[in-house]
Amino acid sequence: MNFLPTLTKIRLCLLPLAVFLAVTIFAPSATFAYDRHNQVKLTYDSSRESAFLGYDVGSMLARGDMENGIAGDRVRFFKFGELLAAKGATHWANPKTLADHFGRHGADFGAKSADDYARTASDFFRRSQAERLPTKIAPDGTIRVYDPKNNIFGSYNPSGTTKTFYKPDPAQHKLPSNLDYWNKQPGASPWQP
Amino acid sequence: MATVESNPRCPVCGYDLDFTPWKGESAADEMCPCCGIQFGYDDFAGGQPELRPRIYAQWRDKWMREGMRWSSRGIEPPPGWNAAEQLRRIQT
Repeated sequence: MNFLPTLTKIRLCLLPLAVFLAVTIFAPSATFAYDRHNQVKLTYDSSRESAFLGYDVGSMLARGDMENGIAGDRVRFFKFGELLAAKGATHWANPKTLADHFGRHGADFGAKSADDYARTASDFFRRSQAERLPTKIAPDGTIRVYDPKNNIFGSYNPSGTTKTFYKPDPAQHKLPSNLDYWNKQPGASPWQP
Repeated sequence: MATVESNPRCPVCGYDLDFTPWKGESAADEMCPCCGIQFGYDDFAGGQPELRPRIYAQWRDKWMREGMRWSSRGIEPPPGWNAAEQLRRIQT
């Protein structure tokens, strides 16, 4: 290498760095889960946020297709909640409805703004799956989560975006307790075989 | 009992919803932008679907007493929106 000009040496040294930067900057941001039952790789495309390309994981869980002892994959699926939270975005399913849900339920959580409320809802979803809080996946794919200790209820689309988030009140749902309200929610738990 | 599964019209105020209030036992968990009822919460009726019509009637009475005002802060009413005319669609 001694016969190479100094400028060429510098270029050769910088080449790996340039390749690394190109890959990390321009590569699409995605995460994967693998469904062994159906031999399908699931791809979460962060640029589309709501898309698991080719697969609706919520519906798959509802059908029981991920009940073959692949809890690790399920955990990886729910890790996408961490991706959402890491981005700091609100991830409310329909931005036009956020003001109404915040107006009615924001005070339940002491939220200072609609974005604060939406972020709390996404954080709750992420935490609920990490801690395996009571979860039900309805036949239509809706994922509902309840924290009985703190009386927190969240409803999410299969993509993980929030539909609603509140602290139930028997005066509204007309059941003796909030746990009764949770028990009456439709669907199956992903935590039980 | 009047079903609301196949008719995306609010059973309280008659507004044409862009979601289905209930799909079987699973609610939309959304609010009607017109009258504000939240399906799956306000009309849960103790988990007894046959009691929902009474809830809807009560909510409708309250909405009418309060002047049939547009509820949503994030969704605008349709151009030329007429609450009374809309209400007639479910009362006839």
